[in-house]
Amino acid sequence: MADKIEQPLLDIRNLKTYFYTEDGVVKAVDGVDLQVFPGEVLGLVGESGCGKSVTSLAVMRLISQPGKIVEGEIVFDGRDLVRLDEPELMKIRGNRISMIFQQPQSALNPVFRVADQISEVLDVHQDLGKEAGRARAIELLKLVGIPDAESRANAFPHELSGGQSQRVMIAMALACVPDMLIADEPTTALDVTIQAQILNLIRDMREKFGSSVILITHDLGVIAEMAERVAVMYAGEIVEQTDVQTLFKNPVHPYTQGLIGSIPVLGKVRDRLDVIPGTVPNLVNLPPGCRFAPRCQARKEHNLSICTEKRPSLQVYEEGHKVRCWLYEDAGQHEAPKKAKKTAKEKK
Amino acid sequence: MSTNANVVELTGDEITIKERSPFQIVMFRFRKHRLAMVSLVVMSLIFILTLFAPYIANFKVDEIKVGDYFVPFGSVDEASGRIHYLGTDNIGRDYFSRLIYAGRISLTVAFLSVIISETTGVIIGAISGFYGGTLDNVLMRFVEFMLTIPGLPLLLIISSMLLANEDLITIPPIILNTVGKLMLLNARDTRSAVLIIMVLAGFGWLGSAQLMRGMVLQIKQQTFVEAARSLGASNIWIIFRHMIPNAMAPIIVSASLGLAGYVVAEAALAFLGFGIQDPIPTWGNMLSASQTYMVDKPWLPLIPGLPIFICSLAFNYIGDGLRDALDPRLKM
Repeated sequence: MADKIEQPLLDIRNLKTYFYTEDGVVKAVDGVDLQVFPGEVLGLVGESGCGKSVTSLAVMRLISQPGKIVEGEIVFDGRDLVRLDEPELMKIRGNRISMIFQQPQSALNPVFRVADQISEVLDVHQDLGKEAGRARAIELLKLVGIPDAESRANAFPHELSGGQSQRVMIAMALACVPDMLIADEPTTALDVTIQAQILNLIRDMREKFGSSVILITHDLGVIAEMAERVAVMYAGEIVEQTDVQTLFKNPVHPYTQGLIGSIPVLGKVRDRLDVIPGTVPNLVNLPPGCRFAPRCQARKEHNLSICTEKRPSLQVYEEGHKVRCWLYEDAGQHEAPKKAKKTAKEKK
Repeated sequence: MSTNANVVELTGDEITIKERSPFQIVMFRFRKHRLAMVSLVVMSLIFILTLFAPYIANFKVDEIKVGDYFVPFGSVDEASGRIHYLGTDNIGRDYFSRLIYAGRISLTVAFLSVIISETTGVIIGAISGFYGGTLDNVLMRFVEFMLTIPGLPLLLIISSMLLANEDLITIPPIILNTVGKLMLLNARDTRSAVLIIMVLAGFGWLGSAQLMRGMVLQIKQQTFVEAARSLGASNIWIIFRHMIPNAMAPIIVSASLGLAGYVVAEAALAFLGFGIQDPIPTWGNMLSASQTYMVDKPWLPLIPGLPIFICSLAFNYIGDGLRDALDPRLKM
């Protein structure tokens, strides 16, 4: 808890990113608050289309037409990225914040050799000479565990495997020793065995460079493995935010509970996996109250009417644990569910 | 197997697989296209002939022998003992010497036109596709407008206008001197050649701009562009480092097909009398000058006609071979 008091490296406040499409305004990110502290791994979990990637692209200021950041602040190291102009952003991208992508093989330019792509980053930010850039590229390739780095440096992306490509991407992202690394589903496109290697690599690199990591994934297994703190996103907002142990031991938001319940557990025989009924709401036409309300089992059990009428806010549930749910609204006249209360007591 | 382009060597117990660079792979595939290879050899020969024109030609371009009109092939010039390999033309100039000097000029015109038009087309197409929006609309509507105008009549009007009025456009002497050196012409004669190149390239970039724009629209969607941006690359950097190199394959093919087009276009202009004028020899104006003798001395128009035909065919085959070799659908 001690490190929580220090200044966050990245502080996202009430971020709203909308896409103005022909079908209407898609509220991909709608009021996200998120802090990332120096050196920590923050997991961002959620179903497809809940706004995880858009949040990360907004941090990079890479939202393109028809998308727009309509409200909020993204304070990175004391500066609001939303207000910075393009030349200043270019100095930050790749240099202080970098990103790795889901499809490593399509994230590398097919016509350039690996070493040239890595030294390109150095060229943009540090104006290294050709020789020095290449030497540094080989050094980075060795660091990310590419065997026979000197000769692989001359390889073209199509000659690399998926795992190797992702290693090269990581080398590119880390070339300028950024303060923050955003990993957008870095292992989704890879084999399971390679996934573990890449995750280990990201962890090692974090220790070596001391960068904070935002790990975006829909895989709770990856979160359990990697993250220190977790934010759960649903339909463009954060519904629960806590440290990783609490998330798995004591999830309080019905959506998080549903997510964890839907993981198959090895060795445990179940007739059916618990699933969350329904689908993610249309982001153009969001429900008026809580966005999870139409799918929420807890709402039905507790027979809450406020859920469909008013949007809950992100409340502190206990220290370092925030949740956006009417069930836990202390000020509210509604009784908190027994199960959650009990577990909370047990913890104390 | 054209895809199996890596070399596997078996030496004793060791198996080594040498990976080829994409260039080697392209060459490997290109060599399989027989007509393209033959064309490449033929074109190389023509290049060598024209490149060494001053050493190979035994007469000066404008050396006139009064009285020696239409001498047959292989006639010996009595005064100097030199041979008229292909005889002489209607005013007694050595046909062979003129032919290879003409090749030098015609090919230079074609190459410079291609280089200028493809560069312009690539840059304008890339900018148009990359930035999109109003800029794209304006540029592409302009390109489409230009394409609706029938080419040849416009070329004729513009080139006759430019060639007639010396002061309409002033060309910097540096350009005149460099191009003049390439074509072995003096600065004054070069002017008409430069104007022809400008006219040809001025209409030639339209197609490659459209091609490039299409490629850029496709490439823009790929993750590596976003990745480059996330690593701090600027728009200009992305266009020149990421877009253009990735779109080069179809551009190279279109350039080699373009060469064929420009050889013919230059000949067509000259043939109609609006191109580079006699006494500067080009294949087109040699053809034009000799058409009067088509019936009784058919070799006169056939001799300059043949290289036009060969070049146009050869560049087309080379383009074809390059297309096969560079086809992105085949795995590199």
